[in-house]
Amino acid sequence: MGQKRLVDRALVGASGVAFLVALGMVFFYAPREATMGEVQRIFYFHVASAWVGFFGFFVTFVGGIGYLATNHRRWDILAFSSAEVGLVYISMTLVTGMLWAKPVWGTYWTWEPRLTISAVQWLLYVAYVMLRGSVLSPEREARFAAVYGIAAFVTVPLSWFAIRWWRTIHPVIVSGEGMALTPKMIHTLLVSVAAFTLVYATLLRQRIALEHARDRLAALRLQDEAAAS
Amino acid sequence: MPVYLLVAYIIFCVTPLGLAFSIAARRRKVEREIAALTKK
Repeated sequence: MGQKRLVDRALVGASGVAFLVALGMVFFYAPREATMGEVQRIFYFHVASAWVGFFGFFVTFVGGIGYLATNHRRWDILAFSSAEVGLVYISMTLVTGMLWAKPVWGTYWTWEPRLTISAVQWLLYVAYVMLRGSVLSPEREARFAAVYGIAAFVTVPLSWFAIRWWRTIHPVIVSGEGMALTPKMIHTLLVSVAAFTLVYATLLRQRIALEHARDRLAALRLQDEAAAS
Repeated sequence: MPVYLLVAYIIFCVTPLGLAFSIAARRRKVEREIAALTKK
Protein backbone atom coordinates (compact mmCIF):
# COMPACT_ATOMS: atom_id res chain seq x y z
CA MET A 1 0.00 0.00 0.00
CA GLY A 2 1.37 3.41 -0.95
CA GLN A 3 2.30 5.89 1.76
CA LYS A 4 -0.34 8.37 0.59
CA ARG A 5 -3.09 5.77 0.80
CA LEU A 6 -1.89 4.75 4.26
CA VAL A 7 -2.04 8.38 5.46
CA ASP A 8 -5.52 8.71 3.92
CA ARG A 9 -6.78 5.61 5.73
CA ALA A 10 -5.21 6.67 9.03
CA LEU A 11 -6.82 10.11 8.71
CA VAL A 12 -10.24 8.65 7.89
CA GLY A 13 -9.98 6.25 10.85
CA ALA A 14 -8.76 8.90 13.30
CA SER A 15 -11.38 11.44 12.27
CA GLY A 16 -14.17 8.82 12.46
CA VAL A 17 -13.12 7.76 15.97
CA ALA A 18 -12.69 11.38 17.13
CA PHE A 19 -16.11 12.29 15.73
CA LEU A 20 -17.79 9.39 17.59
CA VAL A 21 -15.98 10.25 20.84
CA ALA A 22 -17.08 13.89 20.53
CA LEU A 23 -20.65 12.80 19.80
CA GLY A 24 -20.61 10.56 22.88
CA MET A 25 -19.27 13.38 25.06
CA VAL A 26 -21.96 15.79 23.81
CA PHE A 27 -24.77 13.44 24.88
CA PHE A 28 -23.31 11.47 27.82
CA TYR A 29 -20.53 13.57 29.37
CA ALA A 30 -21.49 17.23 29.07
CA PRO A 31 -23.99 18.34 31.71
CA ARG A 32 -27.48 19.60 30.91
CA GLU A 33 -27.39 23.40 30.80
CA ALA A 34 -29.73 24.91 33.42
CA THR A 35 -31.38 27.72 31.38
CA MET A 36 -31.59 26.37 27.81
CA GLY A 37 -31.88 22.67 28.65
CA GLU A 38 -31.10 19.93 26.11
CA VAL A 39 -31.07 22.24 23.08
CA GLN A 40 -27.87 23.86 24.40
CA ARG A 41 -26.03 20.70 23.30
CA ILE A 42 -26.22 22.03 19.71
CA PHE A 43 -23.59 24.54 20.85
CA TYR A 44 -20.63 22.04 20.92
CA PHE A 45 -20.74 20.99 17.25
CA HIS A 46 -22.05 24.41 16.16
CA VAL A 47 -18.93 26.15 17.53
CA ALA A 48 -16.65 23.38 16.20
CA SER A 49 -18.26 23.73 12.77
CA ALA A 50 -17.83 27.52 12.80
CA TRP A 51 -14.17 27.07 13.79
CA VAL A 52 -13.56 24.73 10.86
CA GLY A 53 -15.34 27.11 8.49
CA PHE A 54 -13.22 30.04 9.66
CA PHE A 55 -10.05 27.96 9.54
CA GLY A 56 -10.95 26.78 6.04
CA PHE A 57 -11.32 30.39 4.90
CA PHE A 58 -8.02 31.24 6.58
CA VAL A 59 -6.33 28.48 4.55
CA THR A 60 -7.96 29.98 1.41
CA PHE A 61 -6.52 33.37 2.42
CA VAL A 62 -3.03 31.84 2.87
CA GLY A 63 -3.39 29.91 -0.40
CA GLY A 64 -4.33 33.15 -2.20
CA ILE A 65 -1.25 34.93 -0.89
CA GLY A 66 0.90 31.90 -1.79
CA TYR A 67 -0.48 31.85 -5.33
CA LEU A 68 0.04 35.57 -5.90
CA ALA A 69 3.60 35.32 -4.55
CA THR A 70 4.68 32.19 -6.47
CA ASN A 71 2.15 31.69 -9.29
CA HIS A 72 2.25 28.00 -8.40
CA ARG A 73 -0.90 25.95 -9.07
CA ARG A 74 -0.39 24.05 -5.77
CA TRP A 75 -1.45 27.16 -3.79
CA ASP A 76 -4.50 27.72 -5.98
CA ILE A 77 -5.61 24.14 -5.44
CA LEU A 78 -5.18 24.51 -1.68
CA ALA A 79 -7.18 27.77 -1.63
CA PHE A 80 -10.04 26.44 -3.77
CA SER A 81 -10.29 23.08 -1.98
CA SER A 82 -10.30 24.69 1.44
CA ALA A 83 -12.95 27.24 0.43
CA GLU A 84 -15.29 24.46 -0.69
CA VAL A 85 -14.88 22.49 2.55
CA GLY A 86 -15.09 25.69 4.64
CA LEU A 87 -18.28 26.75 2.86
CA VAL A 88 -19.98 23.43 3.67
CA TYR A 89 -19.06 23.88 7.34
CA ILE A 90 -20.24 27.49 7.47
CA SER A 91 -23.53 26.43 5.84
CA MET A 92 -23.90 23.80 8.55
CA THR A 93 -23.11 26.42 11.22
CA LEU A 94 -25.81 28.75 9.87
CA VAL A 95 -28.49 26.06 9.69
CA THR A 96 -27.77 24.59 13.14
CA GLY A 97 -27.52 28.10 14.62
CA MET A 98 -31.05 28.71 13.35
CA LEU A 99 -32.20 25.44 14.93
CA TRP A 100 -30.72 26.59 18.26
CA ALA A 101 -32.15 30.11 17.92
CA LYS A 102 -35.76 29.05 17.42
CA PRO A 103 -36.35 27.57 20.91
CA VAL A 104 -33.96 30.02 22.64
CA TRP A 105 -34.69 33.36 20.88
CA GLY A 106 -38.14 32.45 19.62
CA THR A 107 -37.12 33.03 15.99
CA TYR A 108 -34.93 31.24 13.44
CA TRP A 109 -33.28 34.43 12.23
CA THR A 110 -32.83 38.05 13.21
CA TRP A 111 -30.81 40.70 11.41
CA GLU A 112 -28.39 41.45 14.24
CA PRO A 113 -24.66 42.17 13.52
CA ARG A 114 -23.20 38.63 13.90
CA LEU A 115 -25.92 36.93 11.89
CA THR A 116 -25.88 39.60 9.19
CA ILE A 117 -22.10 39.29 8.78
CA SER A 118 -22.45 35.48 8.68
CA ALA A 119 -25.04 35.74 5.91
CA VAL A 120 -22.81 38.11 3.90
CA GLN A 121 -19.83 35.81 4.46
CA TRP A 122 -21.81 32.78 3.24
CA LEU A 123 -22.89 34.62 0.08
CA LEU A 124 -19.31 35.79 -0.60
CA TYR A 125 -17.93 32.25 -0.43
CA VAL A 126 -20.81 30.81 -2.48
CA ALA A 127 -19.82 33.37 -5.13
CA TYR A 128 -16.15 32.32 -4.76
CA VAL A 129 -16.96 28.66 -5.40
CA MET A 130 -19.20 29.59 -8.35
CA LEU A 131 -16.46 31.83 -9.74
CA ARG A 132 -14.16 28.81 -9.97
CA GLY A 133 -16.30 27.34 -12.71
CA SER A 134 -16.16 30.55 -14.76
CA VAL A 135 -15.18 30.95 -18.38
CA LEU A 136 -12.01 32.94 -17.62
CA SER A 137 -8.66 31.43 -18.62
CA PRO A 138 -7.25 29.20 -15.81
CA GLU A 139 -4.47 31.66 -14.91
CA ARG A 140 -6.81 34.68 -14.82
CA GLU A 141 -9.38 32.70 -12.85
CA ALA A 142 -6.77 31.61 -10.29
CA ARG A 143 -5.38 35.16 -9.95
CA PHE A 144 -8.84 36.70 -9.57
CA ALA A 145 -9.86 33.98 -7.09
CA ALA A 146 -6.70 34.56 -5.04
CA VAL A 147 -7.46 38.29 -4.70
CA TYR A 148 -11.12 37.53 -3.98
CA GLY A 149 -10.21 34.89 -1.35
CA ILE A 150 -7.88 37.35 0.39
CA ALA A 151 -10.51 40.12 0.40
CA ALA A 152 -13.38 37.84 1.50
CA PHE A 153 -11.36 36.70 4.52
CA VAL A 154 -12.09 40.09 6.16
CA THR A 155 -15.50 38.61 7.11
CA VAL A 156 -13.81 36.12 9.50
CA PRO A 157 -12.31 38.65 11.97
CA LEU A 158 -15.40 40.82 11.46
CA SER A 159 -17.63 37.91 12.46
CA TRP A 160 -15.42 37.13 15.47
CA PHE A 161 -15.40 40.71 16.73
CA ALA A 162 -19.02 41.53 15.83
CA ILE A 163 -20.28 40.05 19.10
CA ARG A 164 -17.62 41.96 21.04
CA TRP A 165 -17.80 45.37 19.33
CA TRP A 166 -21.52 45.82 18.74
CA ARG A 167 -24.74 45.28 20.67
CA THR A 168 -25.85 41.79 19.69
CA ILE A 169 -27.96 38.99 21.11
CA HIS A 170 -25.50 36.28 20.01
CA PRO A 171 -23.80 34.71 23.09
CA VAL A 172 -20.11 35.46 23.74
CA ILE A 173 -18.45 32.25 24.92
CA VAL A 174 -14.79 33.28 24.93
CA SER A 175 -14.20 36.73 26.46
CA GLY A 176 -11.41 38.51 28.32
CA GLU A 177 -12.72 36.94 31.51
CA GLY A 178 -12.31 33.38 30.16
CA MET A 179 -14.99 30.90 29.11
CA ALA A 180 -18.49 31.00 30.54
CA LEU A 181 -18.61 27.19 30.72
CA THR A 182 -18.15 24.40 33.29
CA PRO A 183 -14.99 22.22 32.96
CA LYS A 184 -16.99 19.30 31.46
CA MET A 185 -18.49 21.66 28.88
CA ILE A 186 -15.00 22.96 27.99
CA HIS A 187 -13.66 19.38 27.57
CA THR A 188 -16.57 18.51 25.28
CA LEU A 189 -16.09 21.65 23.24
CA LEU A 190 -12.34 21.08 22.85
CA VAL A 191 -12.80 17.43 21.79
CA SER A 192 -15.50 18.53 19.32
CA VAL A 193 -13.18 21.17 17.85
CA ALA A 194 -10.35 18.63 17.55
CA ALA A 195 -12.67 16.06 15.91
CA PHE A 196 -14.01 18.58 13.40
CA THR A 197 -10.49 19.76 12.59
CA LEU A 198 -9.48 16.16 11.84
CA VAL A 199 -12.54 15.68 9.61
CA TYR A 200 -11.64 18.95 7.84
CA ALA A 201 -8.07 17.72 7.24
CA THR A 202 -9.41 14.44 5.80
CA LEU A 203 -11.90 16.17 3.50
CA LEU A 204 -9.33 18.76 2.40
CA ARG A 205 -6.83 16.04 1.48
CA GLN A 206 -9.46 14.24 -0.60
CA ARG A 207 -10.58 17.48 -2.25
CA ILE A 208 -6.98 18.37 -3.17
CA ALA A 209 -6.50 14.87 -4.64
CA LEU A 210 -9.62 15.42 -6.79
CA GLU A 211 -8.20 18.68 -8.15
CA HIS A 212 -4.87 16.98 -8.99
CA ALA A 213 -6.79 14.24 -10.80
CA ARG A 214 -8.68 16.92 -12.77
CA ASP A 215 -5.35 18.50 -13.76
CA ARG A 216 -4.08 15.11 -14.98
CA LEU A 217 -7.27 14.67 -17.01
CA ALA A 218 -6.95 18.15 -18.54
CA ALA A 219 -3.33 17.41 -19.53
CA LEU A 220 -4.32 14.07 -21.08
CA ARG A 221 -7.13 15.72 -23.05
CA LEU A 222 -4.68 18.28 -24.42
CA GLN A 223 -2.30 15.48 -25.44
CA ASP A 224 -5.19 13.62 -27.03
CA GLU A 225 -6.33 16.68 -28.99
CA ALA A 226 -2.74 17.41 -30.12
CA ALA A 227 -2.35 13.80 -31.30
CA ALA A 228 -5.67 13.95 -33.18
CA SER A 229 -4.85 17.20 -35.06
CA MET B 1 -34.97 14.81 23.23
CA PRO B 2 -35.96 18.11 21.60
CA VAL B 3 -36.57 17.83 17.89
CA TYR B 4 -34.26 20.81 17.17
CA LEU B 5 -31.36 19.02 18.84
CA LEU B 6 -32.07 15.81 16.92
CA VAL B 7 -32.30 17.60 13.54
CA ALA B 8 -29.11 19.58 14.26
CA TYR B 9 -27.10 16.44 15.04
CA ILE B 10 -28.47 14.62 12.00
CA ILE B 11 -27.17 17.59 9.95
CA PHE B 12 -23.80 17.46 11.75
CA CYS B 13 -23.42 13.74 10.96
CA VAL B 14 -24.83 13.64 7.44
CA THR B 15 -23.27 16.79 5.91
CA PRO B 16 -19.55 15.86 6.22
CA LEU B 17 -20.39 12.34 5.02
CA GLY B 18 -22.30 13.82 2.08
CA LEU B 19 -19.33 16.01 1.15
CA ALA B 20 -16.98 13.01 1.43
CA PHE B 21 -19.21 10.92 -0.89
CA SER B 22 -19.55 13.81 -3.32
CA ILE B 23 -15.76 14.25 -3.53
CA ALA B 24 -15.26 10.47 -3.92
CA ALA B 25 -17.91 10.27 -6.67
CA ARG B 26 -16.38 13.20 -8.59
CA ARG B 27 -12.92 11.65 -8.25
CA ARG B 28 -14.13 8.25 -9.48
CA LYS B 29 -15.66 9.94 -12.53
CA VAL B 30 -12.40 11.75 -13.31
CA GLU B 31 -10.34 8.58 -12.75
CA ARG B 32 -12.61 6.67 -15.16
CA GLU B 33 -12.11 9.36 -17.81
CA ILE B 34 -8.34 9.26 -17.23
CA ALA B 35 -8.36 5.47 -17.60
CA ALA B 36 -10.37 5.71 -20.83
CA LEU B 37 -8.02 8.33 -22.32
CA THR B 38 -4.91 6.41 -21.24
CA LYS B 39 -6.24 3.24 -22.87
CA LYS B 40 -6.90 5.20 -26.08
